[in-house]
Amino acid sequence: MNIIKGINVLFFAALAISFLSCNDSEDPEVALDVPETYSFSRNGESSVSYSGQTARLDMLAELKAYIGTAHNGAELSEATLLDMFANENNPFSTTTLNESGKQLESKTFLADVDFFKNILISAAEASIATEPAVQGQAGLINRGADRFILVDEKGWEYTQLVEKGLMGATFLHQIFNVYLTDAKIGNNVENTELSEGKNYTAMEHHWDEAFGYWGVNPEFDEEGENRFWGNYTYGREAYLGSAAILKEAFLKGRTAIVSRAYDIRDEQRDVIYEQFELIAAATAIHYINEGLSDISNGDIGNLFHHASEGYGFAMALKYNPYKKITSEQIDSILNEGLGTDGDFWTITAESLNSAKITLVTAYPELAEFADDL
Amino acid sequence: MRNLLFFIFGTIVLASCTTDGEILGKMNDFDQGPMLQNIGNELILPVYQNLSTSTQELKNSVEILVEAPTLESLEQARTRLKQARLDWQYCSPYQFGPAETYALSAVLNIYPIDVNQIERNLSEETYDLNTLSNSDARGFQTLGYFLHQPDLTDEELLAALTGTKTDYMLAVATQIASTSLSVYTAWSSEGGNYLGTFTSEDAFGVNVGSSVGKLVNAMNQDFERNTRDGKIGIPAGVRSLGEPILTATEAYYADYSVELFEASISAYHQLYTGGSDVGLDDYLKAIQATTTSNEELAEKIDKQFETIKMVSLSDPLTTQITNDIDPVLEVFAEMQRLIVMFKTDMASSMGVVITYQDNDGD
Repeated sequence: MNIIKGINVLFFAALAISFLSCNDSEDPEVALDVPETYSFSRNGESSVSYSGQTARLDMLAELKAYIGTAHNGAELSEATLLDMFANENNPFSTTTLNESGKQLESKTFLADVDFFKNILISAAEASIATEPAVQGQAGLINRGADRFILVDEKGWEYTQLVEKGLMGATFLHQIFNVYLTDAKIGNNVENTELSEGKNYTAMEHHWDEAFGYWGVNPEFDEEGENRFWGNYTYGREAYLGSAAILKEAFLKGRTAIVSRAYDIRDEQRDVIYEQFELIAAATAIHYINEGLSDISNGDIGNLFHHASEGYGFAMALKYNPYKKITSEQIDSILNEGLGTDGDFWTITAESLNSAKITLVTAYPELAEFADDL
Repeated sequence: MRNLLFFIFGTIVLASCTTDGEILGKMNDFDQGPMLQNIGNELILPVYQNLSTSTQELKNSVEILVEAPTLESLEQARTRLKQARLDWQYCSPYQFGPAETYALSAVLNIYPIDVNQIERNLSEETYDLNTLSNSDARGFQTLGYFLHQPDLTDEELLAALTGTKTDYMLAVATQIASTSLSVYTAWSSEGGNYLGTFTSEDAFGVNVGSSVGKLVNAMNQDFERNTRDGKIGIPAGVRSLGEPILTATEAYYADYSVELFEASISAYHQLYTGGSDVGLDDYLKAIQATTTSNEELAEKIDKQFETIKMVSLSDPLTTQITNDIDPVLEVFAEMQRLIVMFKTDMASSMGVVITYQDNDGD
């Protein structure tokens, strides 16, 4: 019995040592050779893959475009909308997407799945409305002189709530709460053996998947294709410089993973959390500013359009597990600043300004250019 | 002696890098035969038999309700539904072999259901409950949805049971009963005799494909995903930055989620102790398994079950979460501790390799 116990002790000691020896986590004192584009290779072949993320960006683009057809009076099918969310019954334009095995719904922040499904169901109902939108009633409303948008009974523009909302609840949530967590890139994640049939380790791949949800092109060309968060990152670049900071963080972190410089990886991860949160906050302020000018122009349609975008970006703040803003502050922006209980028909210049002050209080670094964003 | 120890030490270090359980396997001096016989004959077979009986009774009660919708037949169907769900808890740890073949868990107990999908099926009147897209539009919770409508009085509920709804309920109940029966038949020695496979000497050992390997993997996976996360963690908001998801409770419509949870814990405790005969605890004692801090593992796990059972939760779970979430989070944390003992300490002491992975990649 003592012998067996002794062996067990030895075994665990050995196990502890073997973990160390399998996972060289000591940071080597070497300068990292960080590339200029998001391209990494092993044995002459690329080791980067984030096709699943690209597929989901494509899906959201198609979903938004479909909802957008209602602005011109098209009737939306509830079944199609929900199918596009869950990728069921071949809802997309290409077989590649339909047969990708990927979907948005299962990657969406669990507590908000019903929120988005209800918006989709509501969009289908609203699309058959024959009367224009008024407070408490969904329908079309003029945006500017010559076009219409479909809004719900609170004035929420469906396309914007779905697009900006899922940018937070799906894309940012996946970056924050899945791919950059210790479960996916922590020191116990495989970073020696290649994944079966692949040219990357699990840790490398998870980092790439986080990068894939950002939506920038791998060359970091501002004029190139930059989608969703990629697009909005460059949108506030003059004030925040986040595109440059994130570029460096993603490249350096990925290089650090290859070099097993895990302290550096963790530093870069922190930068990524901070920057995405800042982009969301700054973009929310940007749309609040747009809303203020809509109010002075007396343009309700544009106010609702911009408030819908602002709502999505403000909501996105909640997905950061290390967020600087409190849940109460987010709640006050969504349910007071952007109208009572989010009813855009009750928005005032005063309520928008108070939402802006709340954001600046939470992110003082935005104060000096908050009115210019 | 010193050299020998060093040699063993070195070998283990190498072995642990290649995830080879063979060396640990040799350390096992436990006769698995009686344990597998006991677990197979006295635990698994009877619980599948119970499930097969109670789901048949559930189906009968739905048939009676459909033919004669009265307060009595409604009450009877509710009682049968609850019994079948309680019986299911005792089968849930054993989702390997026939249960896997028939995707039993996906047929019976996917939740939360998609009410919208159900309503769509009802309005279209053509649906195939066997398709993947209907996996959240069938099973126990779907029957719960039809039999428990919080907004309706029982009289109103009965009045609203129209032809399409009753057809749907019957289809769901029939699918539940027939799938449960198929799994039981596949286990029984008069049927597919998977029991024979499970207890045969060929399946001894701890390698991938061995009975113990399958059992330990299946129970860990089910406990982690369904008992810890599905029943408690997800509704309590543990997977959503603390934001509770009340609609994700197991018996959301029928309001007895805590009872189902408690049955699940009992089922695991029963499996662990082997009921009145040889169980996993005896296995751990025989190989003198210890934790990393050198405590006796068998005893520690037993104590951990008691700790979990001591936490008192009340139905409806949704109210418990809303009004007093602390015990819910406490029971989650205690289950988390149990998982470490099951998945790390127990599996590695036995030399079982955990082969399942969380499936949220790509």
